[in-house]
Amino acid sequence: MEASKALTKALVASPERQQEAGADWDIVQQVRAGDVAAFNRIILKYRERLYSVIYNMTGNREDTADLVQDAFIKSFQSINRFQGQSTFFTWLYRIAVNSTVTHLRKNRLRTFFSLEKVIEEEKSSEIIAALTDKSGAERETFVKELQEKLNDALQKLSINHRTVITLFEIDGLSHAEIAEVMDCSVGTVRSRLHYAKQLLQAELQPYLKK
Amino acid sequence: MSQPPPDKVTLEDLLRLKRSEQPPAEFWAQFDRELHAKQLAALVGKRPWWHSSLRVLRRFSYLPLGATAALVFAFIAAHESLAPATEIIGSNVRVSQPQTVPALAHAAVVVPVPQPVTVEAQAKTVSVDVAAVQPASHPVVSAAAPAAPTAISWLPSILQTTGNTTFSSHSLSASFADAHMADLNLGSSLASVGNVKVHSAADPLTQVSPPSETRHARFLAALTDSHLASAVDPIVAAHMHQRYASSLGDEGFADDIGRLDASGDHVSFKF
Repeated sequence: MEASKALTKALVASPERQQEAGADWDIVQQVRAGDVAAFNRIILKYRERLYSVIYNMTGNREDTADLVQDAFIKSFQSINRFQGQSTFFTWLYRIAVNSTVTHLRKNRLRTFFSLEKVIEEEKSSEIIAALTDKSGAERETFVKELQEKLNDALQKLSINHRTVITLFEIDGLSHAEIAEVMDCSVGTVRSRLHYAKQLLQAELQPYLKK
Repeated sequence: MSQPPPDKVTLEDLLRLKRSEQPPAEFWAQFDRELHAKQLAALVGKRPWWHSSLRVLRRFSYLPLGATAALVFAFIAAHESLAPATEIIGSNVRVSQPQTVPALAHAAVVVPVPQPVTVEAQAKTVSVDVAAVQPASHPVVSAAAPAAPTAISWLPSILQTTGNTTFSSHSLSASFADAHMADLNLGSSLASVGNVKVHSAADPLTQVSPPSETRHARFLAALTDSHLASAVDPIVAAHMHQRYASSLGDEGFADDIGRLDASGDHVSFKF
């Protein structure tokens, strides 16, 4: 019954999401049955994605690590309360995002950023190459500067706008999924996204190539 | 073979760079260690006390609002009824030990009613066992006449009941009904002691004589003292007493006031 609810929800998502939802539900059932080790598969599956979302919201590596761990612990503790009305990953994301928002509101005045190293893949290398023709140390300096500028621009956004832009542009969630995670309407998500993009474009104008 | 760099860099492209910000591999090793430690602590650690309360509350969450209100009302009512009925007695009455009080041994009491009573004297609650108490409906007070000794002692039944933590609704209601009845009886028995004022908790107004009666008695006493002293014949004295008594009634007073007429600068009386 509950599994069917989750699958019904997942039908509105992409096929990958549907597959994901089914696999997650199986793991949840195993954990509920007492197989605690099965939860490790959940951790391994989502830790990078959760880290990415929370890191781009906080801009701090240490806080991010703590918040991701807390999100996993909370979901583990309350896994029996997961009723399957949403997919497991949106439920997990909601826990993580809510914890992060609470943390950010508590520590509004404390702004300490620690940036991760950009792991250059094919796509990111192309973008950097389009922005600069420098190489070696100069290129690294440019990338660092761009990273800081991006981080500053994100931190200038409100928590809600930052969350929306992170979930949509960086993690690749759909509008409906973001609405579910943030417990708001799809229209609100779209409007926040539009506003956040406008602000970011104004901030990052020197780096945009037309 | 590398592709040429794109001519156009959009905001989405810049944000895509943020996806590439990933921690090194050693970070994840430490992350997993810390997470497993926290997971174990969560498994072993005690949950706060309110977790179980919340679970119980959730179980009863289907209860409608009316039933919940009734439950709360019943709880409050039971809580209030546990408080002992208090009596304010004259400050010279001090009963502090569960034993016979000699000062009250001379109280005139007619009918023995061995029932438990709870009395509070000077903000201290004591239990009193009245060995001989007259019925409350027919109070006979005669302080001058010697009577059977009155035993006042702690009431173990009440105190034991209130001292224990477990109650049954039947025993509680029976005890409080007994206490209520005995309370009335004790009130009338203590009234026999000259300098003690006793007010019943059940109906304090019945213990207070109306002002008209007091006034009536005072006037009658004054008239009897001044005028009847000279009357030698008891028949004449009784007749005069009856006349005074009838004239001192409320209607008589109303007639007297009607005879008085004050207007302008003079006062006139009608006879």
